[in-house]
Amino acid sequence: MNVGELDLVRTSLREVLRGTDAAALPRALLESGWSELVDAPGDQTSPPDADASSGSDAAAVLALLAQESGRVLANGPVLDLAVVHAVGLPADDVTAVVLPPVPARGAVAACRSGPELEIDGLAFAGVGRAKRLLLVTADDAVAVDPAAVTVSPVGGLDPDLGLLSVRGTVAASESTPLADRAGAIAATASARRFLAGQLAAIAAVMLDKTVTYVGQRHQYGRAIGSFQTVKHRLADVQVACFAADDAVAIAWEDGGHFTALAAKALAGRAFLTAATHCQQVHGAIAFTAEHDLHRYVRRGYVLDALLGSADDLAWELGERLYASRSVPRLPRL
Amino acid sequence: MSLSGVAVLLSANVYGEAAPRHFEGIVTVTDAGADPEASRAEVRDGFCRWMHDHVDDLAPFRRERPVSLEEQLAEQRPLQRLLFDAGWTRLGWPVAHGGLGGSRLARAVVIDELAAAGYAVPELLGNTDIVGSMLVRFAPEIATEHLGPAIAGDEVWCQGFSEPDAGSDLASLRTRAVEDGDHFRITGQKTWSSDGHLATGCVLLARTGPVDSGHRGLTMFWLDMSTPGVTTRPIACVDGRAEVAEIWLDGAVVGRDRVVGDVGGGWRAVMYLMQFERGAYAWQRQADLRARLEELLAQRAPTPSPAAPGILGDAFLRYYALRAKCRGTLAALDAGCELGPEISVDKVMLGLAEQSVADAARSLMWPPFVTDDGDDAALARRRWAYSRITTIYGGSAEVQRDLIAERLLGLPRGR
Repeated sequence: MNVGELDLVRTSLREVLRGTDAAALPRALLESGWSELVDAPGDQTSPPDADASSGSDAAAVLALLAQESGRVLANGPVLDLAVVHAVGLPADDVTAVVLPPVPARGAVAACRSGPELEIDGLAFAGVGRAKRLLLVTADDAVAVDPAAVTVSPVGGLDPDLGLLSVRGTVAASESTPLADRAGAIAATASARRFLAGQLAAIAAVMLDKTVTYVGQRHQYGRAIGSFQTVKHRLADVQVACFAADDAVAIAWEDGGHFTALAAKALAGRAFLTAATHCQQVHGAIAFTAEHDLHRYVRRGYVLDALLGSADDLAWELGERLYASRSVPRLPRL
Repeated sequence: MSLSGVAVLLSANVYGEAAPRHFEGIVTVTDAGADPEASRAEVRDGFCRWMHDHVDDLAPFRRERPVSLEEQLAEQRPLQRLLFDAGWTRLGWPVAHGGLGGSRLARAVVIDELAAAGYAVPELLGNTDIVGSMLVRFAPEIATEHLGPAIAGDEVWCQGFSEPDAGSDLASLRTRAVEDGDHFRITGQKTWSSDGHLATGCVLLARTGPVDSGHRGLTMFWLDMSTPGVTTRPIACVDGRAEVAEIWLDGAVVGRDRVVGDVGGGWRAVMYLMQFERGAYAWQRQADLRARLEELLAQRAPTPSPAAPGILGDAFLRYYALRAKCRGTLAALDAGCELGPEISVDKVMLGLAEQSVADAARSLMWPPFVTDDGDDAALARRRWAYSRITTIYGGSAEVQRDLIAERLLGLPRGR
């Protein structure tokens, strides 16, 4: 897909994201031709390789969806589309993904306990319409009937996100296998890539808003953005944003698990850096709920917490490095 | 500290006139495997095969020791010669200037593979890449004369930029170059010049315009360090070595044909050079930092600090971000783009990566880092101390943040 085509996709994504109720987002995307973009023949990877290494049109489109949905703080189950694609299923609006609970280090949304699956996870708005729930266990990815679980709203740090708690115990025999272990790893990796793309976009928007603000706000007779301490804070945010953007792009291109971890860690850091500095240099205005910065701050902290925070993932990367005794040479030259 | 045999050879070459052009007995390689037409994957495969075939020749370069700068350069010199003779480090340099042609990315592949195979990347290759790129662009005749020998390790170059009163504020420098017929007489003092006391050649920035001409009145010169009127003094540094030197110029005469670029065009030349410090040099550094991280993995203590994975993961992420960024910068340089203010982002990332890897070594090697006199601990201490300069040289991290804020983000100028 060339730059012009991607721009067209971006424009239509923006339209859909602007005019659609959260839970109906997948339906709206499907109606505007989503399947043709991600389920193109030959692109649909059957059992996906956890360390696959090829960028594709589908990856480019999913990357755009993550970025655009992050930018506008979309709260629908858009991430579900990435996960559905990752496990090799055609795009639909009847599969809802259940993510592991927070904290997520090593956690899965469903644990096998004898003949039963114990389910405890989080889902986005739209679970009510779903005909099946997609859960990653330690060994595979399975589908279960939404009627078998209890769904309750989670307010938490970002009530606007409309997170739902999904809990229940179902007989393993009533679950349907959707993907093997490699597919399950790919599903988690794609969810992390998606969250990373959203976090990087949120950090970028926060930086943009702050640059505008410190150029307009005057104190001591000059724009506060002319003070070096303000500049250096925002320069640090910019550096972190570059790291996040590169890591996210590499992760989509590479499609593997390791680069997804690194992308989510670096995007999480970019967000955390933005949250600290952008809020501070906004001064009292960002303490008021009338200013919208807090919406980005809340959203970012929740997305950072899902599937491993920046700190958790740095730790996990360190453990992986110790386990393998080698440092991957990524990205490849 | 006594000099090794090889160091004496180097010293003779650096300070004397009769430089041996080859190290007979060490170099047996004539099967130049480097092919400028090869793809990056082919260069990678070819170079790995070459390293495998020459594993005995390369054995002496596997391990870095905590030695003086002179000794280190001397120890690394035969490796530079080996790589040069086989053509690997000539990849991506124009044929007219001692290279084999092709893409500079091929050379980057070689550096990456060399470090990954456990060899210390010759220190001098970094500065050769930085200065050489400027010479090729602004002084092709000088490049033709000197670039090949520098890649081969027969010449050592330094940068004569900073002065006692002009560090980050480089445009305020005061060393004067006065035009006198077909030459210039240069008078002044340079300082913090890496390898300055060992160098055979120097790219020197001096003022040819009026005292108050700022960055517009500067000219870049190529200075032969054996020119009468040039004296140097090594400066002991906190990493235990004399990394840098002072250079005094007392009416040193430099021919007009030694001007790099245009008279009054020194700022443009030095800005052009800075891109390669971010691109090519940062690439060499990331290759080395990866080797440092792998050393840390190998050294994990029997009872590791419970914080170890977090410390290591953090350093890894800094390395990863640097690698990703300078990969893009290298590609842009290879495509012939002149890079804008975004290179300051690379520079900040380089400092962050250098210091977090060195700090990780300090944390994870505690307490040997503090009390052990073995080579590993001594090297870790040296690298850690050295890493403190990485947020200073080439324009301090504060200056880079100003540039990012003003030129990338568009924040208003002012203090």
